[in-house]
Amino acid sequence: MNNLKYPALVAFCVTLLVLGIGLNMYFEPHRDVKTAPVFDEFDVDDFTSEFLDDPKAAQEKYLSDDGDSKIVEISGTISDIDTNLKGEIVIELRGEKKEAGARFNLMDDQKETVTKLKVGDKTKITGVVSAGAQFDKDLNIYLDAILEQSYF
Amino acid sequence: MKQLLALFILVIALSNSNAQSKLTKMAFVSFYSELEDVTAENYSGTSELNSETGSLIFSFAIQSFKFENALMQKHFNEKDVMNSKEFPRAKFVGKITNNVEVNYTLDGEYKVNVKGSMTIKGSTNSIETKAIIKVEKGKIYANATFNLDRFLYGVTGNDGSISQILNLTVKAVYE
Repeated sequence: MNNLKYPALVAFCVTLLVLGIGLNMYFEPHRDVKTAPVFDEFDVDDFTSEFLDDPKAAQEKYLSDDGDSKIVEISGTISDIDTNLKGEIVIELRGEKKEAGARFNLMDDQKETVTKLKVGDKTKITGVVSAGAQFDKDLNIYLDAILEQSYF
Repeated sequence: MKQLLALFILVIALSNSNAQSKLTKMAFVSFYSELEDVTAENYSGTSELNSETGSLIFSFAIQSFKFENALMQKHFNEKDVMNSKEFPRAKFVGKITNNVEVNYTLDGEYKVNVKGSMTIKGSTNSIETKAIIKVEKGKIYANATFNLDRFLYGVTGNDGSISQILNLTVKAVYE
């Protein structure tokens, strides 16, 4: 009887362990962007130019296979402050170049900081790179870089 | 004098054509998979509607799709699913085929038919759907819900956790 107890206990423990690891993976929380390291700091023109000049190299550098892409801090002049259809505040930064800027979807806890800002102010915003700037031939405009989960 | 007149006509024509094109950088798209009751939302789309021609364009960043479940979001972006690193944006280019039935100067709701091509992960397929255009106080609201077969775009993945047919909702407000 004791000979059977030991393998059964091991099998039970292994099953429990595998289940625990699986559940832990499945319910793994999203990356905490605020505590994650910032990859680099840029002027908005330098950042957008990198994607416009060599999109493939920039995608390789900033975008990640699993979507947890690089976190960057961008400085520029506020050209637009708006609210998207979810109620999140979106800020657009531009530099000296007029073709493309960067748009930041701010985290909910950033609303108070935004009340102190206006179009024309210079500021720095940190966010996760979602897509770089690019020229769209159908829209005939330069698409701005998009940064998600952004904060000041 | 003739040159001045031609320049005047050109300026009027250009300003008029710009007035017909309305752009938003905050268009919304979501998809729903019935199989696992999964929804992902994206509020960062760029869209242009030309009320004169009925031309309609949407561009969405793939990595801006947000899932409640972090693991699913990661899986969605991976190479064998959306490959968002190599194909960071999806695009729809189309037209409202019955645009003449929409009075963009009169408040009201108009049922429209939209036809065009969708490009996801480098694959382009034609799409045809019904949509609603609502004109209210100078704003134009576009709203459409339609099904999309992800296999047509090579969005396969290595598991059967997401439905083959996804239900998409698209919304945009043009001012």
